[in-house]
Amino acid sequence: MRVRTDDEVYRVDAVWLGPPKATFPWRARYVAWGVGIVVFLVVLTIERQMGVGFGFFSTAWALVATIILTRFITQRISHERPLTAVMSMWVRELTAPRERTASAGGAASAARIRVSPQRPRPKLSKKQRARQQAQPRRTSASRKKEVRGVRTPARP
Amino acid sequence: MFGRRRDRDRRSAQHIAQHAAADPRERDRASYSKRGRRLPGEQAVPSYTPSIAARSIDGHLLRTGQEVYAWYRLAPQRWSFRSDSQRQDLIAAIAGQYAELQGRWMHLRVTTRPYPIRMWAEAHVHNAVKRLPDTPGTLSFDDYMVGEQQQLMGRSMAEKEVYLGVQVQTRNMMDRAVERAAPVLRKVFPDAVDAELVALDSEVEHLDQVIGSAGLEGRPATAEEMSWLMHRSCSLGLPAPRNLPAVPGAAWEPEDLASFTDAADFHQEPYSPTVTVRGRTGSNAGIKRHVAVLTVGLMHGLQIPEVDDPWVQRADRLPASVEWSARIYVRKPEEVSGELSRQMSKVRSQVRHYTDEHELDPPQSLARQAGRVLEIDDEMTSGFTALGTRVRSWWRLAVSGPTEREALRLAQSLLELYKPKIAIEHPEAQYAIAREFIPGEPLSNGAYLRRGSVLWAASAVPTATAEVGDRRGILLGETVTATRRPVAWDPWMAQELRDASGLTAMVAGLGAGKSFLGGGMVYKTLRAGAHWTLLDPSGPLSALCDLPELRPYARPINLLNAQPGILNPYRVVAEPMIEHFLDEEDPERAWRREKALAAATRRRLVLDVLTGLLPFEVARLPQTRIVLLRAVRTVGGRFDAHPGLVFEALRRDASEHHEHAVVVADFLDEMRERMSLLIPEENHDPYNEVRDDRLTVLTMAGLNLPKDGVGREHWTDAESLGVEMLNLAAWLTQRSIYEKPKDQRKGVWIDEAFFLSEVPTGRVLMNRFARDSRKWNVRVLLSSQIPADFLRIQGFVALLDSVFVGRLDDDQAQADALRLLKVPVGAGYEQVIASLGRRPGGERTATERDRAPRQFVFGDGAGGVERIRIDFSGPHLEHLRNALDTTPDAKRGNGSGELVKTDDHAAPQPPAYVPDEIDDELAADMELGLTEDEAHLVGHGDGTNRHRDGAA
Repeated sequence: MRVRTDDEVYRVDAVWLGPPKATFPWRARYVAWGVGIVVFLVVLTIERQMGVGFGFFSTAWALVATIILTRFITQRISHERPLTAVMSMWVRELTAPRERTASAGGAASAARIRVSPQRPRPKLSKKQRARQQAQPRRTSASRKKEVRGVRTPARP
Repeated sequence: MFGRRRDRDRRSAQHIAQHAAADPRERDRASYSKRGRRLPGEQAVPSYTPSIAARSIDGHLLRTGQEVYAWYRLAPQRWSFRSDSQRQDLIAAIAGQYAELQGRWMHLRVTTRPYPIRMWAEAHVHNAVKRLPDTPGTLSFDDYMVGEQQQLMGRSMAEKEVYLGVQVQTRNMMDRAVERAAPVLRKVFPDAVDAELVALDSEVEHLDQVIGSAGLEGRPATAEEMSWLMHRSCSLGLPAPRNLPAVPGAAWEPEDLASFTDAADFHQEPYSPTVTVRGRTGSNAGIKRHVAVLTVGLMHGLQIPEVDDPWVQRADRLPASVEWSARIYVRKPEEVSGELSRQMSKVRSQVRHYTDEHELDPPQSLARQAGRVLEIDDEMTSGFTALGTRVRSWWRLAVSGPTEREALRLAQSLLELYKPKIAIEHPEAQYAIAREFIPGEPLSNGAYLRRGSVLWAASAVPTATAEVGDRRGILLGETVTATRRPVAWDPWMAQELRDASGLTAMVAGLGAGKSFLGGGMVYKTLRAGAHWTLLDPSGPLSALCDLPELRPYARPINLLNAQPGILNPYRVVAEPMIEHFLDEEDPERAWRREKALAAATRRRLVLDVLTGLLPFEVARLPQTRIVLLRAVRTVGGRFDAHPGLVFEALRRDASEHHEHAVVVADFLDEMRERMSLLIPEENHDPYNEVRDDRLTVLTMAGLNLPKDGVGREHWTDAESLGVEMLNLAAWLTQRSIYEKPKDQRKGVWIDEAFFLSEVPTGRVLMNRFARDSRKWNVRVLLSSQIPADFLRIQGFVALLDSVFVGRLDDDQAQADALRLLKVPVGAGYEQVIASLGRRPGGERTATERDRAPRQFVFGDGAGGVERIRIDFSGPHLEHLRNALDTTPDAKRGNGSGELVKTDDHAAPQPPAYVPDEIDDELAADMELGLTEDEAHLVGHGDGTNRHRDGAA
């Protein structure tokens, strides 16, 4: 059983040889013409931006540059790799994640953290303070009672 | 009101209980002014979005933001040793399944599950129960295992796994909104959350059915398999993780997918030829791999299956594992026909442009393209099958190596592998294409689009495998067809796990490596704890008993020198023991039945042997059979009887055939001296002593056997005696299995098993083997040079479990061997059998011996048939190779060492029967065969002559 792909059908080299009866000496695909026109416009725009005036020579140079650029681009595209795919691959190359050589962060430092031994307490009102003063006396008394017989550690 | 109050009370009670043990300062918080402020709750947890497109996995359904894919695990398909029509059917079946998936995207993933040799070693050691104790000063079991692993260092019995994801549906806004709101919805309206997948139910069922039918034979991937696939894809090219995170019982939520994506990260430099994958967790932490991602480019026409391999399977030839990821879109016919007509008009306008507008000759390619368009259009519209359905597809391959250089070298060898017919391209944007391997990721770009019919896509057959054997048995060698993977085989797996018989046929011509393969198998399984009894008429296998590590457990017996009565036909059939029937329903009854069967078998065997010993003309007479039958019946089937009693019974025959009975008795009496092995001496039964040896080699060196193709009627007396003795020896071999415990792994190897088809009881023996091999856990190895010997035994092929076929030169023998293997005959595989290993006359003038490893076609009984190369190389097995080298070599050693060895094991033999002078003479007679009459005239009077006359 012979199996084969249909790829051949889709590999039609659509070329434009020129206007009828006026055959150009070169054969260029429609794609190349399209790319050429865009590149030509871009090159002209760049020339204007650079301050080169519109004239015969500037246009001629633009044409030369266009031909070189177009050939460069069309050499990289084919039926296998259409223009859009090549463009998208180029974008993907640019946006792919890179190896991170510089380390992020560094040694952890707590220098900027304020540290205080006590958390701030709410200020006590007079009544509460009075109660608090009364309380320890009572508790200490009761504790003395409860743990009688146990030697208290000597105070320095 | 009350309810509330009570509730509040309970809460405060809880509160107190909770804080009772807390620091007393904590209590102060109650008076803190901002106590009413809400603490950040669930809302404040940062949400997690996986870095891959997949969002959740429910069963075998994988959901991304846009689509739902159902994933299937495809069954492996045997490819080698099938007929072309079977292969074509397989391709057509797969194509038919693809065609049913019109309008859907498919994602085909081929990955591997490694099974390194160390894991084999682990399984093998666990499987080696009651293994041979090590003998000091010899190769110990541990050293042997180390040697086996070193021999296959770094190799893997990796198993190819093929997964197919099929797009079920695209998801709409509503589905995504519901998923987003799932945490809230689950409380309010739980049905809504699952509504999306519930709605898909019938669709998924339909897909399950399509993919599950013959061809792809896919079944929904299990959670464990999904996890494996995600892992292998997200850490593409890294070694397999040693342990995977536990598989959850429920669906994977987006947060759970982090366990896959965090295992590795990818990065690359602009326009670098590989993408770097760095492991971050688990056993792969810190390991870096460079992955080269390739894609399938232009393709010539392929002749599948006649000439070319399925083109995805071809990558299996690479010594490293290759990952595949293919995106396939099955197109609807109307879409294609529109495109085709556009393409056609493009061609026409080009032709017009050339001819009419510019008066130039159009390129030839345009005419060809127009022709192809018409062809495709015809394929699509003709016939009722959908095999003309078209697909668009992108096929990517990935190979990895520890360095960029290594990865590129593998990529280069892949290019070479596919070279003349298929172009493999190495595109840029490696990172983007590497991501395509992850299930759920979109296609990164449209470059290297391959269009074709479903038939073309199906002819890739990624599921085609070349697997044979198992993963815990002894190492036999490696496969030599599409892949190179080690072949291991456990001879007792069929009986213990598959409930199959333990019958193995080994067929190969002279010098094709039968004894080498069998001897290696016996040696390796002995080490792993099996018990073997070998019947080797020619005798070279007794060299196994000389191996130092086996010597204490081995016993060679030359049956021709053994005690009289060792081949007593009444004793070679084992007496059933009641303790072997305790697991039966009615042990007593089963035992009695078996006893009766044993007695009948004995009578049959005696009748058979005695008939075989009579001259052919006498044996053919009906009276002979009648009188013999009667005499045998008189003697009965007790185990302590012997043929001498039959002779007496013949003489006592009182029927109308009395005279003939006496004649027959005379004939047999005449042979009596030569039958000394069959008749025990008075009060000296060799079966009284019982020995427990792990290896018993029975040899019959010097036995006179008929040549191939000589009819029964032309056999000399010595030859027919030889065949009968061989038959009895086979029964004796078989008897050994009943003396050992039922569950113990036992092996029986009968070399030169051709006689089984020559004697009537051969078939009885075969049936016993087939019946008892499973019950008694025996592997029965039968080897012969001529496959027809086995085919002549009725129903043999059906009883057979596994087969080894070596080189055979005869056309008929090759066809017969294929029948044993259950491989199509006449499909060109005869050539394969003829080309296994070396061929005689390849180099007629060569003086060097051909030491190339022998090849066999191995059918493992579990569906795998593959060509393998026997490989017992490795320094640890050198002594085994030397022992098994049966090729004569006059220059080898000086002979003295050999002599000493034979003397050595002559000593521990059982009390040997000392042959007297007459026996020597007889032995000489038997050797010569034809001169027997004269010899007998001298030695024993004219008895023989008289009988010859009588017979004539």
